[in-house]
Amino acid sequence: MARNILRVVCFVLGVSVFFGSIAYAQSDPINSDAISGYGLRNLQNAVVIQATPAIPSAGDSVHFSVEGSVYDFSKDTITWTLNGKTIASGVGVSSADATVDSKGDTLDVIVDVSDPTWGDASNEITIVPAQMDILYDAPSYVPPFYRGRALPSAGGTLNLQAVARIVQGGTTLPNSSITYTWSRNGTVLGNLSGRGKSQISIDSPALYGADTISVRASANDDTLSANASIVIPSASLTLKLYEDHPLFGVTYFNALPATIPAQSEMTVAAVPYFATVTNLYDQSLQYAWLLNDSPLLASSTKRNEVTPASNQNTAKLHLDVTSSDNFFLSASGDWLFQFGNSGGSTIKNPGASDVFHSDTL
Amino acid sequence: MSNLKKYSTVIIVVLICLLVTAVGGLAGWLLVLHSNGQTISFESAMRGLGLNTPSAGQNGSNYDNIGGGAPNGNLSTGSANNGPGGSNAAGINGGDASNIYGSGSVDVGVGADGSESSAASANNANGTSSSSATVLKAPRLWHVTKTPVAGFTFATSSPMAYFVERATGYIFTADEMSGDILRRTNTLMPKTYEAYVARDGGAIYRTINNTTGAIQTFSGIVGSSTSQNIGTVIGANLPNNILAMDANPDSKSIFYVAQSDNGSFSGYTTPWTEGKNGKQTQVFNLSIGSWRPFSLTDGRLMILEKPQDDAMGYAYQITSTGSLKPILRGAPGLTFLPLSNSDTYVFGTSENGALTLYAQSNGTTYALPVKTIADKCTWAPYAPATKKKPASDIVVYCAVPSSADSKNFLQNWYMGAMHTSDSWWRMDLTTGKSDQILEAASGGSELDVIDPAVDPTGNFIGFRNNVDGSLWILRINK
Repeated sequence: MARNILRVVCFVLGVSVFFGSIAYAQSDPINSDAISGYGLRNLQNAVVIQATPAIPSAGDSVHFSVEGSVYDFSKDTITWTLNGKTIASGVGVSSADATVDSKGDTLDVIVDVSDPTWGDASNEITIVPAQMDILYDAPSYVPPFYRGRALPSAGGTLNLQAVARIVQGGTTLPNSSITYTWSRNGTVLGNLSGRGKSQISIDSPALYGADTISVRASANDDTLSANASIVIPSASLTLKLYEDHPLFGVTYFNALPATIPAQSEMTVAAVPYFATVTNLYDQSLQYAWLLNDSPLLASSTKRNEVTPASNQNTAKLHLDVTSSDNFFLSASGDWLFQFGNSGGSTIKNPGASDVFHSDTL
Repeated sequence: MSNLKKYSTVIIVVLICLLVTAVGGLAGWLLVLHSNGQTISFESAMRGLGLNTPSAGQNGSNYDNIGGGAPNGNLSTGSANNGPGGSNAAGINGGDASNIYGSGSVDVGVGADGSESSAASANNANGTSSSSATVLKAPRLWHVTKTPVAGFTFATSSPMAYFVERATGYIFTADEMSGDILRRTNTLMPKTYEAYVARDGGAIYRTINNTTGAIQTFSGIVGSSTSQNIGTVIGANLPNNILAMDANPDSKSIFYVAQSDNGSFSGYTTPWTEGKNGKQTQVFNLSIGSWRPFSLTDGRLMILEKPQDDAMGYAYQITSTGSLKPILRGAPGLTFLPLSNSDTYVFGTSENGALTLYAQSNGTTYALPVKTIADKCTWAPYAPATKKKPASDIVVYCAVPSSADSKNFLQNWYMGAMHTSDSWWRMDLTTGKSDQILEAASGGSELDVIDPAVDPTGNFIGFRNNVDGSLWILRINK
């Protein structure tokens, strides 16, 4: 009998302790000291960032939200950082928005969460938008070793190259998986567009005009896409005159000015930058030289070169450059030679500037 | 009577002695004439052998031929200044060398540093050899050549620069300390428009075929060249019509752009094996050819779409798979200069007639306090962090135009239609400090800087003056 009474008492006490524990737990759900003892506090990656859309394009808005199973974000202090700058911060700020710039630059987003119980947590996500670059140049004439770009001029050809970067699942899609749709001034160039067609050649913009070239790259049944556009002006034919020095060759580093001090004679070479030819001796190019208003014969092999000489102190040199294939190609220039000078060559008299005797150096 | 006989005998003996002496002397004279005659005949036959190259020494006579050589008076001045034992008094170069290549090697003691100048003068007055590394005879701003050079580089083994003369393709050395100029090769490579020079003096020559207009590239190596001997350049041709190239003397690699048979443009790399044509590897293929390649010491390959004012420019790194990894995108009039062993670079923009220079380091972009283009900048030697040493400061030197008032600065400058007068600036991207180290038009010289480079010690900047293509070397510290 006593044993049964003891069993009942133990049972009642056990039940009381069990429910008492539950009641205590209900009154203080989680003790921060306790979870700290278990190493569960300040878990850095206990939160995650969700981005929508996951692969945006240039100009798209992206919505970021923070998620975590044990956090009560409505009570937490949350800070959002985009590319090193804080864009949102405060209690309960569980989401933020950002816009991909027109270049489609990468978005690097960091969220920091501070919870009184679970401590601090953070996470980072890098969004690589679908990017598109449009590169261009032209098969127009520029001299060897020219450091600038060969530009398209009227009547010529314009080369375009699209460089698309669409990342899916951490892998950049190959060019063959991307469909390119090219348009010029809003008109789709259907015959030049298609899968893998990232390179096209079209007519240059009209004289003094400019064309807006756009391209859209899409993949994965059009669920992924990127766009870009560029305004390309028509370049003017630029005529420059250089000395063709017997020792140094054509001195491309120093274009001759309108008035040229020269010794007895000087061989000069005309260079029509951005002419719609690939070499200066193209038969379609015509050089009409005048020396003191009289025709001047150029070299038979180098029609862009003449050697003006005169018995007078000065000589006027005039050049018209035209093309039989492209009547937009036209340029002219006038230069005045002043003979009898010590200069003329771009190579200065060695004694002309002597910095070695300067006390300031 | 007996005395007379006695005297006669003495006289006869004396006469016989005189006769013997005369005959002996005559025989000796004949021997002298004979031997001298042989010498004269030998010298006549061998005249010129062993003599220095006449008139212009081993450095050549181009400059006299073009009217660029200084008058003879300067020769005596040079000798007088250096005094006996001075390296410029005679030596390998001959006297004219000091006149041909700037006056730096002549004008002892005119540098900015007064103490150094005084010491140099004193030493030379006493006939001290100029080989001492502590004696600076070259001025702080040294006009090394007065005629165009095709390219240059600094040596790593000694404080000197190798450069290639544009007119002849001859390779010279310019001693940054003594100011001595020494010709190292005698192989004529006329009209070398562009050259890349290795740290040991080998060179890649680029010229234009006079008949076809094709761009020809030749990789040369100096057969043998010492301080006393001039070497011959031998080598091999690289492919024709290389549109643009970069050759890194440290990584010994060449990166170039050429047009493919199908009309597209490809980038190729090949080892820079001096004098040989290495196996080329295609690293990219695109439809446009306006690229400027960069071959970095750390092995990275980068390309920049050739700049044009207001036109969007792009810079990419070529990955191992041949894809384009963007570095800079859509910047107007973009110029670019990357730093090896670092993610740092400087870049410039040219938009609406305004130049702006930026630096990007550790993901942060800074606007630099100078208005110039990256083409006029160069990096100081940089050492990344190791276990034993922290990284060195990241320092860039830039030449800054006094005025860059042009709507199309890049185009006009690239065409040679405008020139600038530059000052030199030092900008430390680690500390954020910037200083002007040389004012514009110092000493009356208008310096339009192009192709600058810092020597491996970080003490000298070499560059060409785009006004005339001449070579200059600036000692950074006063």
